[in-house]
Amino acid sequence: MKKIFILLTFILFFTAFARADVEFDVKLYKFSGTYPINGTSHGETEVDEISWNLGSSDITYGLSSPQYKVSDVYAVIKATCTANTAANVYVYTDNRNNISVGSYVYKVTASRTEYEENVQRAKYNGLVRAGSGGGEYGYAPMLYKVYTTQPDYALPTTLPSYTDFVTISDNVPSATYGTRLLLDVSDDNFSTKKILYAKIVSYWGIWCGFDGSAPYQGSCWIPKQYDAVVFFCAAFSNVVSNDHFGTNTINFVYEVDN
Amino acid sequence: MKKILFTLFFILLTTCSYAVSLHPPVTNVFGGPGAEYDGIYTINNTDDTDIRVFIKVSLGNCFSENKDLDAEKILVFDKKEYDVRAGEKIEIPYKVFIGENFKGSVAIRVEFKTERTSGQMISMLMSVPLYITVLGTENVDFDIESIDLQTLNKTIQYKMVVKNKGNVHIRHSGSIDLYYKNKKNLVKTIEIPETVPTYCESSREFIENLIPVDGLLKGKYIAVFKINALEKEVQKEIKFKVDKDGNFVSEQKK
Repeated sequence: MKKIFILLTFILFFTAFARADVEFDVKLYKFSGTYPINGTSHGETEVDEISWNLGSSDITYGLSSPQYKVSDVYAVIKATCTANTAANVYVYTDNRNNISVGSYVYKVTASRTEYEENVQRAKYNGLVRAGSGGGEYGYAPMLYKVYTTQPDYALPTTLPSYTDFVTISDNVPSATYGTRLLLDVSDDNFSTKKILYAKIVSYWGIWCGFDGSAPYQGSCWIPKQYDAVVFFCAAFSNVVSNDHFGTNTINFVYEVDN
Repeated sequence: MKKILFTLFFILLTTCSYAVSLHPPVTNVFGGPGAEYDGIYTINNTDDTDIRVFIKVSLGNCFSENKDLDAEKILVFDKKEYDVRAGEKIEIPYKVFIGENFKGSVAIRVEFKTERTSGQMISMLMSVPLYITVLGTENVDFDIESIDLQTLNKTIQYKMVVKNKGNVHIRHSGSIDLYYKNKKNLVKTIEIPETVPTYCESSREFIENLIPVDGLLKGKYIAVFKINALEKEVQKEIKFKVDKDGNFVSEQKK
């Protein structure tokens, strides 16, 4: 009877708003100054992981203060959403799991910056030395730098310097944008300005720390039709010869209607 | 002929993609309490490697009386994991169950996490919304809470705050009529495009360009904002002045 009632009374119609699709792709490449965008490879080599080759020429062994290293592996993001809405790309590293890749054990920090019961807890985000046991020793928080491929903006032909990652002020994302960037910063009139382009942001309370100790929210928005290139940097300390560092899976989230 | 072939080849080369696509990006289901709906998501793997897709659902921005609902019981997939070979397109069926006790709107976020089986250390997650409007229980009640102006990069921008006091999300569109001195002198009508929703029982800022200052005459202006959604329209106007250099100098709210 209930079913009949439902059948008789329910009014159901469905609109899928068939406004095309969401399309998303992220791949890692070894940097050589060109970018495999628009379906052309330009000879860039696709790789499986972000590598950190810490030779003595890159870093001072045994130094306790953080030393920054820019990876020569970068990510290309292709994100398209033709729905009549907005969509953002988020990036975060999920530090919950230890995983093994090849001969290395990639342990990741057991902590990350997050909010618990409204209490802000600055934690670390990124990667650690294999065998270090966690973020308490030799942690290396990941930094991100995003370049969007605006029509009027040229992508870099050299790797960014680590200073490009770390010279940021409060609330300014660690990202470089096209000329039409509006940062999420305070000014005299509006509490915030609109962010137009790429961002690296929090997701489900997980914050992508810029220096590993502060809850900076890098906020970028990759617009509907454009692509982006993401470079990675990490801070290392107490590195000794033959140390191996690795990242856990980097999660790229494309969220529609957020 | 060679030029044409080359051009066609070039277009093909530059437009081909290797990605994972999902359809539809936004889903709206309208139904009364007790109703059910069968739907389909389509995943298209145009990549050159196989992928595995994991599905997860969670509650989104719902009407407060629905905040304790279990998303897993509302949006039900037969399977939560699919293998999609390179070049393959698959359909993923689902069912929507609208409970007898649902009111207003229920928003569910549907996540499709894809991992390449080849082992790249990245995952891609597409997160799309599915909105359920429970017919017969809707309360559409929204307003323009405030409008502010500022000049930035030689353009007058507006910040419009929309307040949604109802129990369903709204996705407004509309227009702004810009008048000079009085409402007889229409300077321009600016479209307000449909973008992101303002969720029920919340406010949202919309910041966009109003008009470039170059060429604006000195004097008083009136901007009438009109937005509409779900067959309701609201409007609010703001008065402002432009100085001899074309800069926005003050505003007078109404």
